[in-house]
Amino acid sequence: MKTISFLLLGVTGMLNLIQADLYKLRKSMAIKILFAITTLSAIAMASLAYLMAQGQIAQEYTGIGFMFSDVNMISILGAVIAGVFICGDFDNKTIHDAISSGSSRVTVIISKATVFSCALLFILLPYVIVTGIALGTGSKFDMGAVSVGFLNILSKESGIIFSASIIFKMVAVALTLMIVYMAQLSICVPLAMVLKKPVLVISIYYGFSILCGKLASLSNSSAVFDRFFSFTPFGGKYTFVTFDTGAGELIKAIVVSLVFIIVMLALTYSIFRRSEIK
Amino acid sequence: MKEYVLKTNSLTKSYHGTFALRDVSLVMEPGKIYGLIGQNGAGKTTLMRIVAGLSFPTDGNIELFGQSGEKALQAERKRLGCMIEYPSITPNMTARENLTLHRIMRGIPSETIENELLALVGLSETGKKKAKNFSLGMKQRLGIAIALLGDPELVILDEPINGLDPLGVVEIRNLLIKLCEERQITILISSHNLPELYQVASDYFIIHQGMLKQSLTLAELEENCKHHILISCDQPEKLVSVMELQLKTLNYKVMPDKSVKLYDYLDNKELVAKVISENGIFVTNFSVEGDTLEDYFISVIGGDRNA
Repeated sequence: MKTISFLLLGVTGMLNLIQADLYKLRKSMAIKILFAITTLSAIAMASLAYLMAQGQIAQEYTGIGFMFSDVNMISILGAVIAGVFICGDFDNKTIHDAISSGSSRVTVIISKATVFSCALLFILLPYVIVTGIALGTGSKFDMGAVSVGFLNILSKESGIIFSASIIFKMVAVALTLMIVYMAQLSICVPLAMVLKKPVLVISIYYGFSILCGKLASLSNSSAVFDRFFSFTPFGGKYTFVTFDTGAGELIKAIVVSLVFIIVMLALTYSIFRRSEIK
Repeated sequence: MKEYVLKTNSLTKSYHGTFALRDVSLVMEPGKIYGLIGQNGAGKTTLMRIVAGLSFPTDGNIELFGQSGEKALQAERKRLGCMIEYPSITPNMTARENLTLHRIMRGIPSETIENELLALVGLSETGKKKAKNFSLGMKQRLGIAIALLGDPELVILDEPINGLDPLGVVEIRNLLIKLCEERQITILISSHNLPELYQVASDYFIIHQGMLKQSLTLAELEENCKHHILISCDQPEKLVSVMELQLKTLNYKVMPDKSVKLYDYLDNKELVAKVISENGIFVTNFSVEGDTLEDYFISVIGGDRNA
């Protein structure tokens, strides 16, 4: 009975923390700026892909297009969110206050990860909307070999004729991609909890994402490595899902991502459980 | 059995072999204001951080409201309000928004508490001014308001008077006294300045190099700081026997520098001087003094007067 009431208290406390963090997010100028950046980047990405497909821009400028793509922007801005909202809470002593007023450390971790995920979904939204609108125009889009994530969907699926099943597939693929991104960025949670410095979190994560990009090409030459890598959200072509990707592949991507998130949170807890909060 | 808000048992904290706290055992009763005094680095903040759950003891344990053990302590911390080192403030929010954030965090539904607390700490008129533009004193006051959210039974304030102007100091002092009297809140307030705490605390813990040097009440402190005749001479041992045999008093204290504090005969100094002189003792100092709070603090921690 005592354990149940303790658990209930923990869940209530976690909901309170999530609600408070969402309030903070709503009041934050940083999230509005990041949203504006991803909105402009999504528009720039779609515009460049359109102009490239029309032949008005040479293929050699795909690098610039990639710069505005979701996978690149989210690697930087996602880590910025972790820096601002997790490291920032150490600076502002919000985490200190949560613990000294009776919240458990696991509650703090889960609430931070939840709100971090919500913030990621929010800044990814412009890519989902812009991709949806762009595909809806029936025009051709192309960004060549650098197409990943939503840019890949835009390149591969442009000119598609919309139907109910296509819309359903689009929602499923967009959700899968967002979950994969959340899983990739879940690495930022332990990083932010341990390092507490936004600059370090951003630079380490960005470096790590570039490394993973290189490792992905290695998996083409090694089946063993490919298999190992596919157990992480960075491998297994999870960021190359399109409307043609089967349900099994989508489910696999989601399961791998969720397991990876759980592992990251467990890792964070093992580090943060007995750590001094300075 | 006596009810304790906080009890620490042989609390010890070390960092890589260096002790920040050593064997600290203290108790706090409800409805009192406790002053925790110590120099910078004495262990005040470490003690507060352990009570708040931000740090873990190397040895020993704490009891909060009679409960010990990690889970129980976590539950009891809901009855705490803390401001340790710096106030927990989000800079790009107003005073009210900061209170709203912490109110939601603690699951307090009533919004009226925000107005009450802003008025209590004198921040009602700050309007849309962001906390990052507040003066240090305003930030401290906002931190105190946040610590008071949810009617805590124990409030821990680490150097809350730092950065306040003289008027602000008086306001916070009066606020703390009022809270203690009206709401029966127990307050643990730290400072490196004993005279500052003398105005507000009813009980004192003097901590030095991680060790609890003394735990005393206000009455005991006043008793210890009472006025005396300070005598320095060439034969302190003889002076002591003269005082006992001829002046018939045991109300004196020999200090580490061999000077003697005589607490009797303050209104008959001539007699003391005459008796000393008659016994051939060469006096180098004979003055009426009272331990200032600072001197007393220094004598307790075993430092010299210039410390």
